[in-house]
Amino acid sequence: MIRYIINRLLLTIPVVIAVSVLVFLFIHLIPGDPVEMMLGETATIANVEEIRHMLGLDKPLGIQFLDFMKNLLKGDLGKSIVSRRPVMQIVLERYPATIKLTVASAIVALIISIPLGTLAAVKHYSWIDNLSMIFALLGVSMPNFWLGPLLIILFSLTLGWLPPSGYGGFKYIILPAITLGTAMSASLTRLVRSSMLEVLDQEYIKTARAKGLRERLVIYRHALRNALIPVITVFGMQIGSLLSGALITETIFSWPGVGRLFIESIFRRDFPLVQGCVLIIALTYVFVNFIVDITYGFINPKIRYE
Amino acid sequence: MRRFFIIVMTLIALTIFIFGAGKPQYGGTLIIALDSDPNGGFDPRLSTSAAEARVMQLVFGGGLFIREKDMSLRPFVAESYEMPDNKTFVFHLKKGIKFHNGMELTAEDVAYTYNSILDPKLKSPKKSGLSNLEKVEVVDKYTVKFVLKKPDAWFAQWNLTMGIVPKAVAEKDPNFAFNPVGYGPFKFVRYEPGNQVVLEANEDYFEGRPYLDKVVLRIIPDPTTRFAEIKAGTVDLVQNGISDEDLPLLEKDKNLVVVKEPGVIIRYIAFNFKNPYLSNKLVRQAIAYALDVKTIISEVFKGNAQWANSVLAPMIKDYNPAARWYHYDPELSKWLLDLAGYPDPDGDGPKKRFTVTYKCTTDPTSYMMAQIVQQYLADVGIDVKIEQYEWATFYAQAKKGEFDMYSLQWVGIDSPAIYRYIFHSNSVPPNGANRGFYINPEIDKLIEEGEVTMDPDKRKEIYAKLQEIVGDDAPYVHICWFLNHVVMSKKVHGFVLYPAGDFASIAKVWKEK
Repeated sequence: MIRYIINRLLLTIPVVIAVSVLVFLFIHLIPGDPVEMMLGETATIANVEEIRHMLGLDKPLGIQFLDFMKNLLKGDLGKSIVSRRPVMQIVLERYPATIKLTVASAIVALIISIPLGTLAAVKHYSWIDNLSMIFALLGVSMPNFWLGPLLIILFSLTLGWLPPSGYGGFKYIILPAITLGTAMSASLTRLVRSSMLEVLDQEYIKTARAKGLRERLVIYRHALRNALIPVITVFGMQIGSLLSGALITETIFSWPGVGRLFIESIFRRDFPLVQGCVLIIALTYVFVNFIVDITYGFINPKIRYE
Repeated sequence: MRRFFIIVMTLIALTIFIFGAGKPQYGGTLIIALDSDPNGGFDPRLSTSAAEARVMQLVFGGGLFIREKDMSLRPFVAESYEMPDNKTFVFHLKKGIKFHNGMELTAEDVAYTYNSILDPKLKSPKKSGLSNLEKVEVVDKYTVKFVLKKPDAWFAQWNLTMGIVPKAVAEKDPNFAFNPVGYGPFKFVRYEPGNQVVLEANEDYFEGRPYLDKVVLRIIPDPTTRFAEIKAGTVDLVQNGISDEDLPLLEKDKNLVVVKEPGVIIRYIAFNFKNPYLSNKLVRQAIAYALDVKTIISEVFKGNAQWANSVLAPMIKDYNPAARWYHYDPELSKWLLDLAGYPDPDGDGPKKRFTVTYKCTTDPTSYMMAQIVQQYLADVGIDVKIEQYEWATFYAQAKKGEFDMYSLQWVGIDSPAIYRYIFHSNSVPPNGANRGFYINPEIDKLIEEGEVTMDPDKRKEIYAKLQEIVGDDAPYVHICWFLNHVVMSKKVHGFVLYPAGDFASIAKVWKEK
């Protein structure tokens, strides 16, 4: 297990380097100049070149990349062209909001999907099963940019129960968490259901029932635990995706997360900030996948890594 | 007697109620929606975005001058000024203006502000705007002198409304942009990235303590969410942040007030003179006559704009109402195209006279306008291919002159100083914003003359002639000047819409309890 962990950590290094190279190339190759964006339409070429020189943006691309990699090895992601603040500081400032939204959405997703998927499998072909599948279909089909405003119209404008957007106390997180959590729970519900159906058909479940164990124990202790293995993989990927920022939901609900930061930095061609965001997002995905793999071993003792 | 007494007391109470209700009240928090994150900070020497400018208008108020609603300049931190010659400004500062940290604003601070911009170490994007500034000198504690390299009629407009930073703080605090110390009506409290900016009243504001206790500027990037927030009453004021389609819904809301006034944003279509068809003046004029601009304004912009004939809006002193207006006249357009040597090959048939491309962004309004222009030009026999791009890509191409036609807008045009950037022959790509390569020596001469003419009446004549020539040459089709709008709660009083969207009036805004 220790060797496995070390191997996985070492594999992170080439991933980070590859991601760094790719994002550096992409952001510098697409049209648009950060200094022109900053100075506005009346800037002359002399203005632009002067600022580019001051910010080191007129150096050859290779030199800029080497400077970036040198600083990266020291843990320095550089400074934002727009705000001149350290990129690491800017991204880390926004991460608490992203983590809060991720956790809240995950809770919503799990609260809906595990009971509903389990019930659908246990009451296979019943009206509960049909209802859960309709819910899953709706959840997967409804885009966030539609569901979010719909929730705002209902809960903020019509009922006046919740604020339309913002960041602060508990009441601000409810609507964005429901928006994201519903979409997540739709696919998870189907997965829990199909996984449970497969597990409930296993011989050891029949044996457990034959031994006279209560049905509740059979379902929740014996069946669900194994049914959750594939669910964890998908759930982990969804968490990884959320931790990289839910751009649309963050924009609709004015949530100050990493997703919004990322897209704003692209629009402004703030190269160091874009690079920093991508790197941290890539690392997040690697970390989450790593945790998912480790979790398998705890969920199912049959899975071990030598 | 008793009845008389009751009647008098009732009348007195009624009078107090009617007139007392309109009286400004101290206290309260005004919540304003900002459409973008002011993440460049609040240092007047460094910040460039409109959102940052709005916050700085509250923290600093103004600079040596402040821009009034009629676009004129009023001395602000300056008590008075004189110009001993046409290259020198001597400002006498008001005494007793206090920064928010209690220190007095003096000539040292003014000189430091401008000299630090000129210092390459600061890497200020405003440096090149001061390229005509020779030096700034402290004469005495309250007197500062600006010496220019050459006369510049627009130097004050472009450079002297900027906030003054406290030398003792700014030169020591590398994070001054995010801990600004101003002297304006509101003190900076905190900035929460992506979320909001919080300001509180400056009790010692030299133009009088503001009525409000606090101003919170919430960052709400989505226009639908801004609509929901103002409708729900969780935001008090939104300026220029509601879509044209949604404004009528808010106008019907009894809890809200919607005000619309002319602004200084001009929408235009630009031609590239390097295109063989568009280099012909008759073709450009024909295109201008082929467009029913009034219908474009009503269909695309829902009536929230005024038909334009110049880059300068009517409230600008040098505006010329007699510059050419291109009324919708498709028959005249066809005749001009025939005269230009591009007859319609098959009359009303499908063949076109020639084809041009029209570039626009992915913004739905821009695309809608492109489609309407395409249809109008098809009606006179010109084939238009629309090409849509994401903003930064579109902008990069426009700046390089890689287009036949494109449409964009100029924002905040408060003086004819813009003409050097957009129509002088020295400003063709990559040097400036004369992206269509419009070269006219007479225009160059008028621009240069206007910049060094200090007499406002003579300047008006120069720019009147310039606008007439531009109107005739048609390097642009001037489409419209947008109306500014503000949507606010009925409880908010005293807000004044400025043509350039300035927040100067918030110092006098009050909110009913």
